[in-house]
Amino acid sequence: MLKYLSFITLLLSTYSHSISASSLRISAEELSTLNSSEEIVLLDVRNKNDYEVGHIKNAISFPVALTYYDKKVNGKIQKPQLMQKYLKERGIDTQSRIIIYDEGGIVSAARVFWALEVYGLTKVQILDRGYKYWRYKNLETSQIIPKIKPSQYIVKINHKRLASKFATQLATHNKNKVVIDARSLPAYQGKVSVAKRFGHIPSAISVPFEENIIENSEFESLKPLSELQDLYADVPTGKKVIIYCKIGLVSTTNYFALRELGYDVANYDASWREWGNDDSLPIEK
Amino acid sequence: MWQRLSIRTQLMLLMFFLLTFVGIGTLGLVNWFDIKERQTIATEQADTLGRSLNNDLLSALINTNADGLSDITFRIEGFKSVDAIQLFNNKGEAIFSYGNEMYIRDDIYKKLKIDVPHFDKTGRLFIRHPVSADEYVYGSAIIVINPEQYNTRVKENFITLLLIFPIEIFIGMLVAWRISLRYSKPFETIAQAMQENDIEKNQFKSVETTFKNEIGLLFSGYNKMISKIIKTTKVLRYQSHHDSLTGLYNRFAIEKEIDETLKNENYKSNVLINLDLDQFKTVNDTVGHIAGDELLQMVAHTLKQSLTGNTDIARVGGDDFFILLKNTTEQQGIDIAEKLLKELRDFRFVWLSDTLSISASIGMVVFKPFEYTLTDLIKSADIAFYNAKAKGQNKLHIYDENDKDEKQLSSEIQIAGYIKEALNGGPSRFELYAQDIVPLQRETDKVSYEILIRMFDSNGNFLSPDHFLPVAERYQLMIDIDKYVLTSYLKTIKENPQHLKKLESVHINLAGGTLNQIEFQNCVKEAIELYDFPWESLELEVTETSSIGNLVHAQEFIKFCQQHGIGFALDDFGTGMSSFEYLKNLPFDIVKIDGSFVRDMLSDPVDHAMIRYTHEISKLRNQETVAEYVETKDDVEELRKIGITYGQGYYLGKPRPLAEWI
Repeated sequence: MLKYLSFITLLLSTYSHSISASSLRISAEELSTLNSSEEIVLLDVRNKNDYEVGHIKNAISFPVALTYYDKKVNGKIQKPQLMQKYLKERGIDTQSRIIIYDEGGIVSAARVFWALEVYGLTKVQILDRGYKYWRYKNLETSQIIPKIKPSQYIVKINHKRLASKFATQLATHNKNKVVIDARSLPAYQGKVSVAKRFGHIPSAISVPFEENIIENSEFESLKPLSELQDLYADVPTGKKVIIYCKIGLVSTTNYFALRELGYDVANYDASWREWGNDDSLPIEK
Repeated sequence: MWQRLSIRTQLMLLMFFLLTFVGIGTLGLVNWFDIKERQTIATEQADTLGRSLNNDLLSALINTNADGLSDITFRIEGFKSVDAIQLFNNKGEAIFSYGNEMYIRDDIYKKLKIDVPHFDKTGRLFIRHPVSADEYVYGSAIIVINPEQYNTRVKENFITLLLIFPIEIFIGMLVAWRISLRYSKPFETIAQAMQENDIEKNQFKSVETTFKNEIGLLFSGYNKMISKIIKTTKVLRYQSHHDSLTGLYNRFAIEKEIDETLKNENYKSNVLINLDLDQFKTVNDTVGHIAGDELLQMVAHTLKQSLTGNTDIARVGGDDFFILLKNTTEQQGIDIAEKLLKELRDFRFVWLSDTLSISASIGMVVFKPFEYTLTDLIKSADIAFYNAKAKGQNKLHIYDENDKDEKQLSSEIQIAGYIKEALNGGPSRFELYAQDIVPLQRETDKVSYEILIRMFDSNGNFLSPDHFLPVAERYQLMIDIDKYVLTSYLKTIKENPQHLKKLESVHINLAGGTLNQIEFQNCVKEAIELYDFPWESLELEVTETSSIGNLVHAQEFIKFCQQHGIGFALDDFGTGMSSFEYLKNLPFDIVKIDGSFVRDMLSDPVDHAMIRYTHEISKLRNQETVAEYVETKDDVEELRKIGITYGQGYYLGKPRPLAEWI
């Protein structure tokens, strides 16, 4: 009996999950009509100066740079102690509903989206077409920095969203896992490299980051879901995906697109900067 | 409610409750053991987990980075039973969590002591495990384990037990049913036997069993009881149907027989005889009840001897017998009845030195099936009997519809009843009155009177002598009344002896046959011995009409009386067929001239002459005369002139209660 019940619960949760998969983006119009009493944490991921000049009312500053452990070395995610501090300060908890926005290029917002998911948050969305479009629409902005009540956040890791070197290594041998290279095609083909070695991780397929983006438009944004489905048509649903790029930044855009499509995806944050420089690891050209 | 249920149902229910109780108890116990086992496993696993994760947690504490925590998370996820883990540094700050924080949020779990397991309401284990290296503790981790995740053998067995439970109940009920069948059967057998017992027909069932225990005792006890009941019922039935004195049927039994005969269409004609002894009371009174009983037994014997065939004989009370002749015609009935009358008339009842002859009166009803109801038939037999009795003794009367002088008969019966009551001390009663008899030829300061009897029924209503005396005559009660008057008067005088000083003469009336009766003669003889009374003052009055003939047979007694000075008066002289011859031959001292002559003597010379002659003849025989019905002063004057000795009538004095004379 209990088994049946849990099975039904599972079905229901799967269903609700599939719904959330398609609603990871929120439009400006939708956000503006959201009831202010709803407990939403708006995160402005642009740099501090831009935030101070003006931001969506009640938004909190969370510059994308905070998600890097050491951006100079590679895209590795911020250390737990600091992340715990940042999230506590901003009153964020694993159960908080988060809406992230950047200027509009999606890349920064996607990076923060990934980082928050890794640190255990489950209700995170991105404002479609960003602040630029918000301004264009003349929606309400502010310079007031809201007061925040710190949260009780304790570090929690969703290991399914974070791929280490070891996990990526395992994936190259596992037919049930797909490794996606988000770098440009020349980088994939070994013609250019940010590391000392050229090529790509064995078994990886190439889906360059740019292909997720509508570029020739006044407002940069992620492609609509239908186009994204075509883009990832070769990736069988149900397979686990590991995504990487040069430093684990732009790959988060692919990551976000795949999340919207409902894939179980992890970002290899150290990316080619680490793999390409480690002679002990195999590469392909 | 419970008492209403049959033994079988009770047993089944008890079994059901017992099985359910044991079943649930077992399941509960098993479940409890299961929980304990899970807790033990959980504690052990928490310990194992804590130790195996020790190094990882240590590195998470000292050298924190996301990859490391990711690996730890990945590893912990392998333990399905771990619901949550929270890692604390030395300062007690939480720096890492796994799973649902909900379980750890509550401060109470942060206060957990190292390695002391705690189980919360949901059954989850909370344990704080130290994170240490080289005997130095760097921090601690609270591990939350859900023991439900373990597959224990008990859990599998529990399901089996749960499945077995209804089967167990079913088998239990089946066994209970079989057992209850065995143990309720004897009770049902007895109950059924009791139901089938027919007390009316004295048919009782006995029961049998192979049990030798309490049930065997119950059965043999029941059988003993039944055989006793059968015996007792036989005796009771005989007693309830028979008269204990004569062994004949009693009223109940004969009525049942009569009723059945009335409904039997095979018998075209039947006869019911109501037979009553004429002299039973006399026998009872003169020679006693024992003799009376003996007489009844002998009569019963005689009836049994002479009646054979399809005949039922019953004594229905006193000396009253019913004889039912089934399938008998009227003529056969008459023959039988007359034969009975003859046999009883020939019968001589000898008791000690007395020999009494008896006779009977018979009322007879001839009836067809369904012609009467039982009640009507018996009533008709009674009416026929009273009609026979009314004819006199030793008579047969066959009931005829024209007999229906029921009211009269029944009122006579009623009056006869009153008389018997009055004789036996109430509530109906007699009262003695006295009327003046006044000397006409001389003056005296003494009194003379005639004793008269008056009667009052139980309600105090006055009953005229004209009413009750004929009835008393018919029911042969006159002798008793005469005895009663004589003895009552004597008793009154004995209590008031001073009255004798002014008493000159007292007249007491006797009925026609009384003087002849030995019973009365004995009564007088006893009285003479018993009472100190001036017997020469007593005059016994005998009516001319009914008693002249009887006096001839009582000469001896009359002589005896005369020897003691008791005089005799001839009452109502002139009314009957009597002649002056009687005055000459019979031993009367006084002649009472009937009132009818006195009433008209002043206008009718014949009456006047009659009075005069009577006086003259009486005078010649030295007899005194009394004129009745003296109503006026002129009457008195005339009678005195004629020479009549005494006058009696309203003018001279109305009857007054004797008590007023005393």
